[in-house]
Amino acid sequence: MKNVFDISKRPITKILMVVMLALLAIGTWMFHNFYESRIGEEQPIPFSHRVHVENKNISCVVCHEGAIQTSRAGVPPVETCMLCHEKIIVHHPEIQKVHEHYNNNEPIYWEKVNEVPDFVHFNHSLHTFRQVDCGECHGNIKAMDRVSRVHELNMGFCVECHKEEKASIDCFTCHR
Amino acid sequence: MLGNISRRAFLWLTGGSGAALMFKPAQQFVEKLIPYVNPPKYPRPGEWAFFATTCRECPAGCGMLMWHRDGRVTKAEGNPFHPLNRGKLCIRGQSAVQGQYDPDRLKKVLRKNDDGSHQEASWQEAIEDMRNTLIRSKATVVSDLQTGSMAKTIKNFTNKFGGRNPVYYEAFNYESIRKAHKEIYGQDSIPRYNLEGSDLIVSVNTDFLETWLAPVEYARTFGDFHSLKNNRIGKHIYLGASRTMSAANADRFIRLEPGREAILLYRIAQKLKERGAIRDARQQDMIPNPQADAGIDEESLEALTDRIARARDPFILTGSPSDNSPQAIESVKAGALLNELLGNRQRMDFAQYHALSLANYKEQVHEAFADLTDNDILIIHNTNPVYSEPGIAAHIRKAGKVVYIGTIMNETAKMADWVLPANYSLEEWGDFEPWRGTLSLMQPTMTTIFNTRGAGEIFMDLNRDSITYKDRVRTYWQDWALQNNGALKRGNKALAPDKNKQFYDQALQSACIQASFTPQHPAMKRLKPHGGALQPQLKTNRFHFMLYPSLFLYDGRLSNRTWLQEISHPVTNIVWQSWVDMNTQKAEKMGIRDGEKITISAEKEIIEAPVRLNEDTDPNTIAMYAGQGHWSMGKNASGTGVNAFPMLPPNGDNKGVKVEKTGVMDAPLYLQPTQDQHERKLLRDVELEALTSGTAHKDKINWPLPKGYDKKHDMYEPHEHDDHRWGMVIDLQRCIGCKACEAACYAENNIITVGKKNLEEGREMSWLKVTSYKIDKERMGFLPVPCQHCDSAPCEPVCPVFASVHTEEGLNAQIYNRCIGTRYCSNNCPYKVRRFNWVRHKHEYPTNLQLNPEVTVRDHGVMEKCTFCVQRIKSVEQKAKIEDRPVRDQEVQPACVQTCPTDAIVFGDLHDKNSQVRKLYDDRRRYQLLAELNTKPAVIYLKKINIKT
Repeated sequence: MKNVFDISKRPITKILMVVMLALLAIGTWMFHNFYESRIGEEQPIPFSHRVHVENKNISCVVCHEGAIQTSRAGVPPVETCMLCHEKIIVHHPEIQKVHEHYNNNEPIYWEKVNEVPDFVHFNHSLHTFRQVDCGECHGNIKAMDRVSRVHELNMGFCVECHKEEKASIDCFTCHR
Repeated sequence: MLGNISRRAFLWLTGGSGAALMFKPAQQFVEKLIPYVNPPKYPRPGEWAFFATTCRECPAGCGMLMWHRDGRVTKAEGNPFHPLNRGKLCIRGQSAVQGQYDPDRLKKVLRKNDDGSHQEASWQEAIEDMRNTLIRSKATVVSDLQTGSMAKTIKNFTNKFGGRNPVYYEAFNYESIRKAHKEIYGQDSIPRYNLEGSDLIVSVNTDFLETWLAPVEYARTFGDFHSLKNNRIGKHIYLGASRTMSAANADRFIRLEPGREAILLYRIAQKLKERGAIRDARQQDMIPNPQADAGIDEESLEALTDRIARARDPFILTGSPSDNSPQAIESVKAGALLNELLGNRQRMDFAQYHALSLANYKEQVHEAFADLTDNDILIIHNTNPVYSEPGIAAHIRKAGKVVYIGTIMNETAKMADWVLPANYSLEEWGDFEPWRGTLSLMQPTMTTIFNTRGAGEIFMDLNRDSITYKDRVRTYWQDWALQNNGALKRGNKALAPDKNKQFYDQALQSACIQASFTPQHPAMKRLKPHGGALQPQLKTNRFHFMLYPSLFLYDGRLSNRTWLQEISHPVTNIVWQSWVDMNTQKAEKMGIRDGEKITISAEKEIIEAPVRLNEDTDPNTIAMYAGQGHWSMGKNASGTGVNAFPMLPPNGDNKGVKVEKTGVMDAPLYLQPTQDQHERKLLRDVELEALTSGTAHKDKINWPLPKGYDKKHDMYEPHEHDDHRWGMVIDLQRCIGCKACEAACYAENNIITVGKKNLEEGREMSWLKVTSYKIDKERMGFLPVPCQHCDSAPCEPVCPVFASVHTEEGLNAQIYNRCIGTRYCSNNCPYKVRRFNWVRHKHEYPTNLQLNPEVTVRDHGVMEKCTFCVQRIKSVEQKAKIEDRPVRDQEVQPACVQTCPTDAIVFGDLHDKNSQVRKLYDDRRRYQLLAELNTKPAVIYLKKINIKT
């Protein structure tokens, strides 16, 4: 009986297989490297950074004011959303949710996307003071609807940049 | 278990785990980001905020500045604007955060069951029940010492319910001082003693550096007094029964049998009169002429008189917190007389009396308790008479209802029908007036963490007052300021008591309002020596019993704090235990060995504790420190040590105690096994004459800078430091061994405490250790040893993983996340300042709230050590960078430097030629610890000064 699954005897199938695998590999590679708005954690409210930063052209520090003032960039309080959305697009169901949070005095529990370990003491304001663009670490936020992690924020990543910029690579700079 | 594993199970386990390891586990962030809905303007998330308040750990009432971060306080510091402590804080104040975050704190309302146990109840039930009881019974309120708003609140309460006076119970109430002053000045109070400007302090059994009215204030004054300025230095002579910390800091320590102080002082007065050395002749006809033995030989007495006569401005300190015997009262009288004769009247200001003048006498306290009947409701607030006042428990049982309002379940609370959890002082509004004219303000430094209420609020609720306690406090401040408007001190002149908002904001920022009154120095009325007091008679085979308030635990209210238990006693280096100080020769005669348990029996009570034999204790005396031996107060205090309060004579009538040997050995744990230097000269001193005459030899030091590099002796190249090279100077002449720095270090750097068992195995964790050494037979000194941050550090080259590295700023860094725990570094460290973490310490709630977020919390298996508080250095550097300016000298203050009451430690940049630390590196008294090893330490010590008295 002829084995219909015996593809090895048909060269065209072989070629097709190789091509398909190659396409898959290229696709995967492209997916990870070209399409930057990889989808990140699902958030309680589908806030789109793309809409706010790219379309509305709002600066990062309008909401994340801590980034230029303190060690932590901070997630904006619900009050900040209400600065605009008290008047703008009030009836969108998701923005209605924000209103609810605001009116019930309930904070929104956002999922954390970027994370450095507890034994690393990072200071946002020092980096923004030295004119380091937010995108250096956070990636092209403009293109992300749902924010995802672009760089593994590990020591190699930090030290590389510190070396390039002739910043301190002393251990005590980050570890205390 | 592994022995029984089957082959199949083994394969299954290894295969399974191998497969699991092949896949990178998906990283999941369990953390959520929870921003505010409406953020407060201040403090900002992730940033430090500071709240000024008042320390209530003892009645000294120092100003505190609390470091606040994200809704919780992490560290107590002295308030630099406070006139009493000027930014400094003692070990008790440093431990305030441990009181706030004590896991054994009262968390909920408790009601007593019939079987004596307690069961949870609600606030409403408690208040209802108290209201119902109050209708038909009279209220007796016993509280720790309170002034101002709280005193007013309690007074209002007692006026409404029965009209009895509130009882302010303090175990250490300085009765002897008050009674003596009442007799000779007609003022039942403790005046403000001013030590400034004196050149000779003679303290007669008065431990003014540890616990005597205002420890930080006096320690601070003593630091300046006892250091060389323009070739002048103050001298300190201590006469007393035992080597306490104050005695250890004396230039001459003279052993004196207790009870003979007055005789000695009167004899000195007589001798001064004979010599014509009296400076104020008004009282010279009053000098009694006691015939009894003065306790020291004639020659020493002559020398002491001579010393006092020669001094420019001598000052005699007398009076003890605990000793209320007629002899103690007489000694205060004698001291006052001698001060009058020496022209010191203006050094005692009765206008600024101490708040402790308002505490009740012991006999008044006993009367109040003895009067209790079934018709009485007894409300005890924040004090623990059952522990410190033997015989009180029986009286408490007679009361119809007992309510305890406080922060911790202690012996007194255990007896209460209702236990009401009160806010800790850091969560409360309030005020305290330690010296009259200095109103120190309290504000909440964080929100409450348990279901607690303010004590004042409870009283006002029961009283059905229409205003809140906060309003009362604020009104009180305003009234106080208005009342003393004319007297308000210069800094407070801008205060506008008539403008509410502005007044509060300004007052709260400094947390202190000060008024100056015309000093009062009443004339001495009469001095009639108490006959019996001048003829002390100790029955044969009896001993005097000296009870010293512990510098750490005070009267036992702080005993549940691990820092205070684990930091060793300055003079003896004993931890987690009680001990009895006893004279070696006397003990040998009685056949008592060092470390043996002895029984001490007073009239009815017997206690048992191990002895520490030493030459410094008077042969007829045994001495103990108060505060240990709780039987039910939290898990750290309970069962630790022995309670010595029952040995105090109830009415000050000192009949002496009996001592018997038991033959049982139970040696206390000494964290430092010997105080002998074995001729290694770790703690050095220099003759005063050599310094004043300029002949003092200046030691060579190995500079921790490239200029200290010597090709012949150094194997490694020198370190170049571009920006800063941090260094420290510790002045051994100023260090009094109070150990506030150690506690500050524990608080700042998240250092764990490990308990007695681990300490026995040498696993202590303190990064900074204040050691004490004998210099010669008479004198001892204190040597604080932090990491020396050597320039050629022996620990650095031996680390196989580069966890121990030299940083760009000269610090010797330990990188915890890199450390694998080989302990090579610790082996190679000659100073033994590295601490290996052996203990898996669980930072249980709420102690975890105290952790400093700027410092990594270490787990077991990691080496850790002093970092010169690198987090503080970095924060100052970052601030300077953003403000685009250089770091100022003394701007960086490590925790130990910040809190040191005597300013013994100086920290700064060695590259800055004008910095204080750089100047002190060239001081004549400089030396390095173990300099012969050529480690080039960056910590320079300044030799202690040997003052001949």
